[in-house]
This record gives sequence, structure tokens and C-alpha cells, in this order.
Amino acid sequence: MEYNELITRVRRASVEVPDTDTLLQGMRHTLKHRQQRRQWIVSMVFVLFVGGSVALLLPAAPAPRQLTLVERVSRQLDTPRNNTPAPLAGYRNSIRNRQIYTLI
Amino acid sequence: MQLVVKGDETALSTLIERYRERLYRLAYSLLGDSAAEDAVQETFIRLWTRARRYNPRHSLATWLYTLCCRRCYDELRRRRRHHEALMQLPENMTEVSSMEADELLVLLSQVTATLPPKQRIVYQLREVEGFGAEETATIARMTPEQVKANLWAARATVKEKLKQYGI
Repeated sequence: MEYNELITRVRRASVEVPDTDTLLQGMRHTLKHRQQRRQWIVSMVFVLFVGGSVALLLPAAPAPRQLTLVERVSRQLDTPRNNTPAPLAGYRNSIRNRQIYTLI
Repeated sequence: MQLVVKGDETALSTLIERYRERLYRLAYSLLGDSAAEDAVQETFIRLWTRARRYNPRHSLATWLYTLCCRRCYDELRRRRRHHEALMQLPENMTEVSSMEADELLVLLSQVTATLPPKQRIVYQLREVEGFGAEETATIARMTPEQVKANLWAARATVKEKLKQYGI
């Protein structure tokens, strides 16, 4: 068989083509599926946008209150002796001793 | 086409009826039967959703072939990346002269399967579908010189491969 004959015969070849209704049905299904996916993406973006905006608009948590001197000293006294940092140890002991003397 | 732009489904169905066979044949030759239906369906989806972009300077057939070729080209490139086989060879390869036309179409598709996607599309449009050089260039989005070069290379490869079947 010659090359040109092959091409001529191939041009005459018939293939089984899906009918119009099948194609239309497939198109509708695909379009519907894509629309649903698009809606889902849009709603997710909306939720993220609203969530982010609310989080930004909420008032920030109040700053912790400054402790008074008495509170700071009483906290120092409540901490166990072993946890007291070295530089504070003498100060802490002197307060404790003064307290003990006062009680006496 | 104006009715399709307005969203008339009956007009769309008329266009599908008119062009489905030619487009399916092209997609079948390039991709095989499983992907051809998807490619044709996607072509008509684009026709439906992008009808406003249609430029009446070109014929509707050319535009549809362009959409279909684009889709087939993407699929061929994807397959090439994943080294997927395109079509199964017919079992009886030696009896080429006694083959039916549709078997020869499958054989030619298999022979052209190893060509680069651009060459394959140009070969199919020019050699098998019988489009002119200018129209092929419009459909494949190439210059006429590129079409000529791709066709020359593709034809040489195909003829070389067909020698083993006595053609």
C-alpha cells in the first residue's frame, strides 16, 4: 500500500461519535459541578474574610495590672526558698526575719 | 451563533449536531476514544461559556477546531509529561492492506503518537483533515512557516515508521 492511499483511506474512516443528547447531558453535569465548586470556594473566601475581620475588630485583651509594692513583696514571700533567685535571697530573708521579729 | 450568545440551548444543540462528528474525529485521532469525548465536550462548553469572545472574522468551524486543538494539545502535553501510552496497537499489524479504514486510522494514530504534540496536531490537520496551510496556522496558533516545518518533520517521521508495515 502506498502512503497516499493510506491517507485517502484514513480520511474515509468513520468513528463512532457520541450523540448530541449525550454530549449535552455531559456538558450540563460538568457545568453544574463547576458551579457548585465555585460557590463553595466563594463561600469559603467569604467565611475567611468575615472571620478575619471580626478577629481584627475585637478589642485587644487589657494589659495586666501593675502590682503594688505590698503585692510584689507578698508574692516574693510566697515563693519557695529554693526558687528564689540568688540576688533576691538576702532581701527576702531580711523581710522574713523582720516579719518574724514583729510577730515576736 | 448570536442565539448561542443570548443563551439559546436549541441553537447550541444545532451547532453540536453540526460539528460534533468532525471535532470528535480529530480528537479521536489525537487522543483515543476515552479522552476524545471529554475533549469534544469541553470544546462545546467553551463555545457556550465564551460565545461572546467569538470573532466573526474567522469561521465558526475554525474557532471550534482551535478550541478543540487547544484542549487536545494540553492533554497530549500532560500525557507526554507522565509518559502515558496513547493508544493500543491493533493486534494484526502485518495485514495492513486488508485493514478497514477505521483500523488504519488507529494505526496511523499509533504511529503518530510518538511525535511531539505540535507536530502531531499539524500533521493531523494538514495531512488527514485536509486543512490549508493558512487555516492550520490559525487553528494551531502558529505561523505558516512553523506549520510547514512541523509538517515536514512529522511527515518524514511517519513515513519512516510506516516502512516497517510495507507502506
